[in-house]
Amino acid sequence: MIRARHILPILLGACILGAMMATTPGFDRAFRPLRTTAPSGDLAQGRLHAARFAGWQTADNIAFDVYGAPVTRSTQGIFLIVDVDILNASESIRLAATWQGRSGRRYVQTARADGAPGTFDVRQFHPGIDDKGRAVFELPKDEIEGGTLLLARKGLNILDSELALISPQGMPAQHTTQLRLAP
Amino acid sequence: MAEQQSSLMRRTVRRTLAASGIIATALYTWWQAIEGARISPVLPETRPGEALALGRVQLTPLSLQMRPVQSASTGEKQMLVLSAKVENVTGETQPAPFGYPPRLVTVEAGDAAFGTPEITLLRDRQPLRQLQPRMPEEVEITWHAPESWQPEELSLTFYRQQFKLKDNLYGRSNWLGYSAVARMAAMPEPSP
Repeated sequence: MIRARHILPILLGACILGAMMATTPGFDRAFRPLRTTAPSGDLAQGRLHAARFAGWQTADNIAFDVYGAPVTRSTQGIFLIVDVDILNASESIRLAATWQGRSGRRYVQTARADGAPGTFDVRQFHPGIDDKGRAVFELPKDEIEGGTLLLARKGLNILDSELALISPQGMPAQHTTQLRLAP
Repeated sequence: MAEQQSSLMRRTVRRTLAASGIIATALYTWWQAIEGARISPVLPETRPGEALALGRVQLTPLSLQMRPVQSASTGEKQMLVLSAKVENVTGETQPAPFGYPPRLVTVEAGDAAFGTPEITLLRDRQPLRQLQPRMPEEVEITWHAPESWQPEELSLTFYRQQFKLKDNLYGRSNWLGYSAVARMAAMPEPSP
């Protein structure tokens, strides 16, 4: 009886500790961005800005000028070019775009299109000026349909807003063999 | 009185035995860890064409070549080029060269020191900056050979990076720690 009186609090403490450990959310879950989802064409409002899925198209190759020099890029998969309206910016911000495909895989905007006109890597958005941004992704074709565009402030995004813009039904209507990206 | 002394003795012996068992286990585990680090493991040999799972990527070495350096300003005369196919097998875009410090493959050739390699995308001969999931790419991994080095049979060591679901600091998922997984002995082909 005396032994049980000593062991019981230890067992109880171990059980409570185990339950707390099992139910505590992990770092990735506790500190993930705060997501706002909007269907295609609707406005998603975040903490610092709002965004709307404006249009999309695909291409086998893309071409653009960087400091006056022509650049052409090809891909193993397909280029997906997404245009987005950026509205209601409450402070000057830079944005980063990620495409979450149907499989759940995340494709960051391709660095091979860096410097292309209008892409998020070269754009900054300011309060009071409604603007447009463009993201270029390289991905397998089957990741396009049913995908979502994720927009968040550039850099480490912990407990800040992330806008999830759901793509329209089906595949983009426009496909070009060689797309010239113009401002 | 004698009974109390006997009980105390029994308890002391029991506790000493239990403590020595725990200490012996801890010492044995510690020594095993030291032995593991002291004796270099025998790595399995790999050949060109064999796919290697290296954590974030699956890499298939294809060929090893010597090539003349394009620019003469560096003072080096030749470069060692490993042609390979890499595929990102994770669920998100990975920055090349796959982790910091970069340690995908190293060269051992006597006393010659080969630095950090450059990774070039073969498709348009641009530096590989990212690798997208499910999109295998052909690349060239290039080392500038030291000036005095003459081509000889060398050894390439491939490293796998370990994925940890919860790291020890924050409990966040992360790619940590490299370990050697395979070795490829090869004589570089002369430049075409």
